[in-house]
Amino acid sequence: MSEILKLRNLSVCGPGSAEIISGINLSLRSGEILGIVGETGSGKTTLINSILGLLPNGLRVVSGSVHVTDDEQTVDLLKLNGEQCRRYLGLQIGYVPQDVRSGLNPLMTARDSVEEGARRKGGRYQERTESALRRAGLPEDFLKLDADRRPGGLSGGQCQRVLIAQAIVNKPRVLLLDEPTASLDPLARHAVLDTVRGLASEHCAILLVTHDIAAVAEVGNFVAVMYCGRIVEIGRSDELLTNPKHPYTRALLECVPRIDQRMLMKAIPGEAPTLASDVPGCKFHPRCAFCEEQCHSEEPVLREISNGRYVACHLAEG
Amino acid sequence: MQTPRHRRDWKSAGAWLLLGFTAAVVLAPHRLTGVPERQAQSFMPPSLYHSSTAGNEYLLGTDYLGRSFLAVLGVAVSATAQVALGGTAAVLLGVLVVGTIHGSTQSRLLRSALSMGNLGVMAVPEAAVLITIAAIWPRTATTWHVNASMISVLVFFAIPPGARLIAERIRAVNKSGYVTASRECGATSLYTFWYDVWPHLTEDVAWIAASVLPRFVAAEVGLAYLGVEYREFEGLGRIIAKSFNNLIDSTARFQMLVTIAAILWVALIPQVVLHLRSMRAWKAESI
Amino acid sequence: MTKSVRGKLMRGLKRFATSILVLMVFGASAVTLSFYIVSLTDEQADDRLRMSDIPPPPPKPFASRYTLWVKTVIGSGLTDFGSSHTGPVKNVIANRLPVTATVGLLSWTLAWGLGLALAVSLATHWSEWAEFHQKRIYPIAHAVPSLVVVILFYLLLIQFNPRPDHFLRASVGIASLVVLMLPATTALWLNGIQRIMQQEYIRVARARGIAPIAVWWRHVLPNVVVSSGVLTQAVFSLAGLIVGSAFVEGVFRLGGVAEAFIEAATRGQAELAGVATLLYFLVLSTGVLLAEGLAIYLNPDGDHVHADS
Repeated sequence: MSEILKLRNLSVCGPGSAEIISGINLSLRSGEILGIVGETGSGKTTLINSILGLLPNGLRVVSGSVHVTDDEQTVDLLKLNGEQCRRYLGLQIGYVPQDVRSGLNPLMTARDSVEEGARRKGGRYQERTESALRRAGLPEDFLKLDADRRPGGLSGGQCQRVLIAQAIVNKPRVLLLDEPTASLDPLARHAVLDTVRGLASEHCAILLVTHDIAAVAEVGNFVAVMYCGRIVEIGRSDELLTNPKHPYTRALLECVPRIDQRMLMKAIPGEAPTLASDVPGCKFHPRCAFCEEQCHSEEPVLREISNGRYVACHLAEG
Repeated sequence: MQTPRHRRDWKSAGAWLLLGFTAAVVLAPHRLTGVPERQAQSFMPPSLYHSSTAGNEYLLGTDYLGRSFLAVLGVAVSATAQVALGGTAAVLLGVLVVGTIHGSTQSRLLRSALSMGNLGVMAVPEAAVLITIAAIWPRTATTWHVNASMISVLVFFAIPPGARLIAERIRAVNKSGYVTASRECGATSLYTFWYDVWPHLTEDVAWIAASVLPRFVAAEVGLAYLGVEYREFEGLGRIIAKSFNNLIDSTARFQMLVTIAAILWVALIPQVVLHLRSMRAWKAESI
Repeated sequence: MTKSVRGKLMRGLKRFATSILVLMVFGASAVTLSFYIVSLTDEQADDRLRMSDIPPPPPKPFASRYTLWVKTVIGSGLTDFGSSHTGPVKNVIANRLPVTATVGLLSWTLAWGLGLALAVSLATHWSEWAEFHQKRIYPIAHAVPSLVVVILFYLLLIQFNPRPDHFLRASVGIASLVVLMLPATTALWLNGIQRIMQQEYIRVARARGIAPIAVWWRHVLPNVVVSSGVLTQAVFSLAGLIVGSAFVEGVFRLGGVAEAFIEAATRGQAELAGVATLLYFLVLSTGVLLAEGLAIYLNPDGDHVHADS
């Protein structure tokens, strides 16, 4: 299957040329779900923003490419101007934001919000709107009674699904989800993950950025672990989550609470370096329990240690 | 692009010097700019224009009554600034008292009164009220009564919005942990207010002063132009009104521009002080 | 009609009715008060009128004068508003209102329209100047007395044309009003726009490829209008301007309603002052009701909540 979204050597700089994300290489095929996990500030949301061309003031892409393939051609989004880029945003690439409540215009009804995007493709946009709301997991009752409500009258779970419906109304090839389960109760979370799985089965490539490692374990085919703006480990989710190779991935997994084990969670010692601080060598070495001399001076590159498994650590072995 | 530091220092020194001179004029205009007594013909041009003429002893010429315009201007600046400063002080006092009570208590009455006051301030044109107030006093009324009533209108119009701002700030500060901790450690209300609350109010108070003082200047100038000025009051407004009636005379026109500059300077004094303060804060940070 | 739609309709109607009631009470009180205060000036008016050889109005106590005026106004079906020393009040207002309303409406439209355009430009293309405008230009402009600006415009006008005609005087008067209001309107719009632009739904709309013009028209502006207080300020400034700007009318010799009001106040013409006040509240009420209607149309639920509010 061909790659639909391909990121090559993508780097973003902030004020004072501080690197926010550095040399990101990723690719997504249709029907695949790639989970990106990491601490707050590791650059996950910046990665999504740089794909969408929505970096906040002060941040800019300094190198790399974001290739998207549609029926006819493959284009580098970073080389397109705003108007050309709009042909892909919302049509080929869907986006679900992190903040459920403020992601929807408070003055627009749920139906209008979804319909606004559907109109872009023309045709039977009303039918597509209803279909998107259904595919996002909203029941028939919602369509009859609540679809004409504004976000203030909807629950958090309903808002999240409306946001998903907004993103999928034009059947995009790529869906970018930023923390889709962050503010949901367990039932709503489960339903949203079901919807995500369903969308992948419809050949949509999904990039799922989340803190929720359990969610990635549940639905993801692949996982990428980000630390300090870099991918430190990437591989198939079943392998990576059961047998992590990078010390940071291991530490991160130890922080995940488990319902079947009564034990104290281990926090990762120290703090992630700030943008201003320039840590030489491996960015994780000040917090790493296995740090060696080489880690202080030499930054490890992402290398393949086994089939489809890449780790950026001097000590990792296959 | 930033202005070089030495130029900023010069600007700042110049501004302070001018502020000091203004303060001296406000406090003792007769000593600095002279007493405005009839000495020469009306609208004698300033010596700056005609150094060879007989009127060269008058730096800015003479006004419509043949008085030294510089002396008239000095007295007018003093009068206008005194009213503006006094009125601003009254507004600040009112704003702080009402705002502190409103911010520290849950009085629904006060809240409703302030809401109504704010609505009234927005809905009722201040100028119309001032004009009617100025007009209702009989000729026999004392100057003090007439002028105090007009200044009171301005003060009452300025209190509700300012008090609401102060009340909101006090409520926000009171919610913070350190105020609670201070109270639990046994600090008196006065102590808490002075050390924990007041430092957070200074910026708002400065902002209120900077927006209220120009309103007093504008009201005095505007009312004088409309012919319903403060009684027996020789402020900048009267000069403007008289110059406007004699625009055909080039000296009057020149004097009007000088008066406009003086009005702008008096109205912008709080902005200048705030700017100098922020420059000082910037310097302290850079050190 | 579903239950929720009916409920919304009722809520909207209730808001509307409350606004009308408040405005009626406020307006009636203001008219009565202004009539009362101005009727107190009779003593002074008599003095002045005696000096100017115009027969003084017969001194009447407030209660009987006010009752007579109200009876006249209502009895005539709003065609007779009593008399002032220069003739029937209706004629005085009818002669002056066209110029005042034209100057007011034009300057209001230009000031708020240009303010919006400038604020949009400052928020998008000239963002480095936005802070400078909010922190420097606006406070300084706010502190400058309006009479000074109007006089400077007049001086500029007579410098180029010592005998300007009525049209030119009115045009420059409008320009001076626009310049006076522009920093404040720009600051108000900009404040609202900057707050809304930071909202997640604006970013989401862009990420969905919605056209920039549609993002502004459907997402930014309605939310600015509903949540930033721009509408209220605009309505109050419109009411003030339509009844007249005394300085512009005086300096540019336009002969408007504001001048008539000042004359009424200083000469004890309570009927004229009452009608000017009534006119102000009629414009204010119309503006408030239109604004309320727009707010209800944009936000029928009335529960506008932003992440930062």
